[in-house]
Amino acid sequence: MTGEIVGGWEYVIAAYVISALVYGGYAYSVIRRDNASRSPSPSASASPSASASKEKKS
Amino acid sequence: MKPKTLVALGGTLLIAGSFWGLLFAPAEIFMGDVYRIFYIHVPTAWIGLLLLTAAFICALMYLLKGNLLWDDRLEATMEAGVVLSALLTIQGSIWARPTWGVWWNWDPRLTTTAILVFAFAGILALRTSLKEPRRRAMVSSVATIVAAADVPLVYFSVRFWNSLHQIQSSPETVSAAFVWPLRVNAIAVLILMAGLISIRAETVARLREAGAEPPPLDAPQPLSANTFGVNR
Repeated sequence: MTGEIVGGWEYVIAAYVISALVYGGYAYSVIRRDNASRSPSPSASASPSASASKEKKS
Repeated sequence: MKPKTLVALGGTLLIAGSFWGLLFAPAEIFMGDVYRIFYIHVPTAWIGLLLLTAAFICALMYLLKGNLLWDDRLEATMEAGVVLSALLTIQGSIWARPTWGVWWNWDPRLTTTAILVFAFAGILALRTSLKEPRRRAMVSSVATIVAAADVPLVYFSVRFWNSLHQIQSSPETVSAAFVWPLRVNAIAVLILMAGLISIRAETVARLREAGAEPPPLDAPQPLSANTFGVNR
């Protein structure tokens, strides 16, 4: 027993793969939610205030 | 610089720093190649704790100023901080298996980190149940300030108590041969998270403004047709 660790690349690879998935997944999630918040929702166009403004224009 | 540019820059730097640490940095004398986890684990820890400290500052600023923009920033920083702290726990567990012989140990550093993850994740869950923005901001600011007491405990746990975990790593405690990939990755995670938090805070603000935020108390209330019982 020398106290030295031999090998262990499988742990290193596992740590980096999981980190890549978490960082990448979180970045994707933030950008996707941002894009979704920018697109107009169907309920917004059907809201009373939206229909009222349409009536004013016509 | 635009937030998405920060995300792209941070992501690219993180890939470069990780390959540097994995392929070009020398092996450590006792831990061999397993120590290479440290190039992703330590930056995750630093920035995770930094973000939760930033969440604490946002909570304090909301309580002082009463501006809901601080609550938007609070949610964005806390969410990112919880993601990094949870990842930190997983990375630490993977590193613990070959070095300590176990996946998990109720060591002070690990225990305080687990409490940190659950406390802040709990606050995020609590926020989803509170629909009124001012009430949500007030409750989560107070809860954040209470939960943030665990951040210094996590950081100093390795000095306060007898811990299996080594003392804090810093560029001063790391040999020159190992330090540059560590610095690159720390800067990369910081830039990446700065970009993501900017985007997220903007999204949270947009959703809040689109939602049912009540008008201020001194604002005149609009009259509806049915206010006087008129049926038109």
